Amino acid sequence: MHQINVKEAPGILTVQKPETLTELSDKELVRQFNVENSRNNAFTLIVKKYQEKLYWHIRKILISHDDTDDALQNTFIKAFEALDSFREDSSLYTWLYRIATNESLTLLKKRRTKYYVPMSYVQSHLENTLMSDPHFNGDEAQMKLQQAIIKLPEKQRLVFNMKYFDEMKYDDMAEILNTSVGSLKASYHHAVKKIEQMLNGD
Amino acid sequence: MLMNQQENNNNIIGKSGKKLPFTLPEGYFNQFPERLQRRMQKEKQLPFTVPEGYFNEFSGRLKNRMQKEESTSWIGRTYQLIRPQLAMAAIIIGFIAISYTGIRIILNDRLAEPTITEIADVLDTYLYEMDDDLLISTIVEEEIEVDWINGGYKSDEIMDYLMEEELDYTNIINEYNIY
Repeated sequence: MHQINVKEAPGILTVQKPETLTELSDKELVRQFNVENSRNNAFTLIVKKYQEKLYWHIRKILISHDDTDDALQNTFIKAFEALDSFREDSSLYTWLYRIATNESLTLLKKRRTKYYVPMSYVQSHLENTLMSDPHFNGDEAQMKLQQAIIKLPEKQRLVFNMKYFDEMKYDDMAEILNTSVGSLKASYHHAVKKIEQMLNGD
Repeated sequence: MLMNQQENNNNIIGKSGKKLPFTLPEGYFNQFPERLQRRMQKEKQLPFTVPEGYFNEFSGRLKNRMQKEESTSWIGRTYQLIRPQLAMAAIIIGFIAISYTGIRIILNDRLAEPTITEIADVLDTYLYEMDDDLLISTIVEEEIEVDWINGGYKSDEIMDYLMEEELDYTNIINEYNIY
């Protein structure tokens, strides 16, 4: 059953044709979110539109499905609370991506500060999670690659995942991570070199 | 595509003047782009899976969590709103409590110390003669606390002795500079 979107204009009531999820633009979704009657529906559509993309982005950082589930929920809850003040100076996806990145890094930081442990402990934890993950179905080569990525410094890990797996443009990455394109390129270059060394070292 | 392949082979022969002793599987170049694409996708494929039905159920679980947080959040929101005021109130109450306690301690000490007039009245009432050296040494040695005003004497022996003696209380006050 199709839902009919009703647009009200001064003195005129028009009926919009129903749109599929993929056809509804981000701008329209945000507009509908800002209308009280359609807020919940618009938010559900936003969740369904971006849940998978954001999930995999977070999963690459946190490795564990359970941690990813937590961070993904936190991401959308924060988005719900802040969406009415979203200024649309970036795309909705970029904005959500940034929240998801921060939520993932916050979860990692919490683990460090909670136990007052150095970053190397977090890396060990991620490696152990990777090796014991029931939701890992890669081969040996993919395991080695993921292990090498985990060993990278935090920023290089982020940049490598976003560039290599998501094939994101540097300009978009710069907007999400709030850093310069030059810095990102350098991070990616160093990350690739380190991974090559680690894989060849085996 | 096949025509182009043959054309290219002719060109190679034409340029080098030699025929390459190789053959290709049939349809190789037709299938090559698709094979390349699959390989690239596999290399970039993440080796992780998700529980079955996870994405179908996610929005429902998220909604439940948000509703639960909404119902308990008003307490949290109220607390967050008044927390600065609560902190300020606690500081003020603490300051008042400390000040009051300090003032009480000071005043109690002062109240415990009889005034000159009170000493004179008591001595005038109870004493008419006294060996002051003995009085002082006795009090110091015995560590007696004597409530001259209310008569709450802790040592009856001292009082009996003092009452037997005559005492010039002004000399005591002047000599020992009590207040």
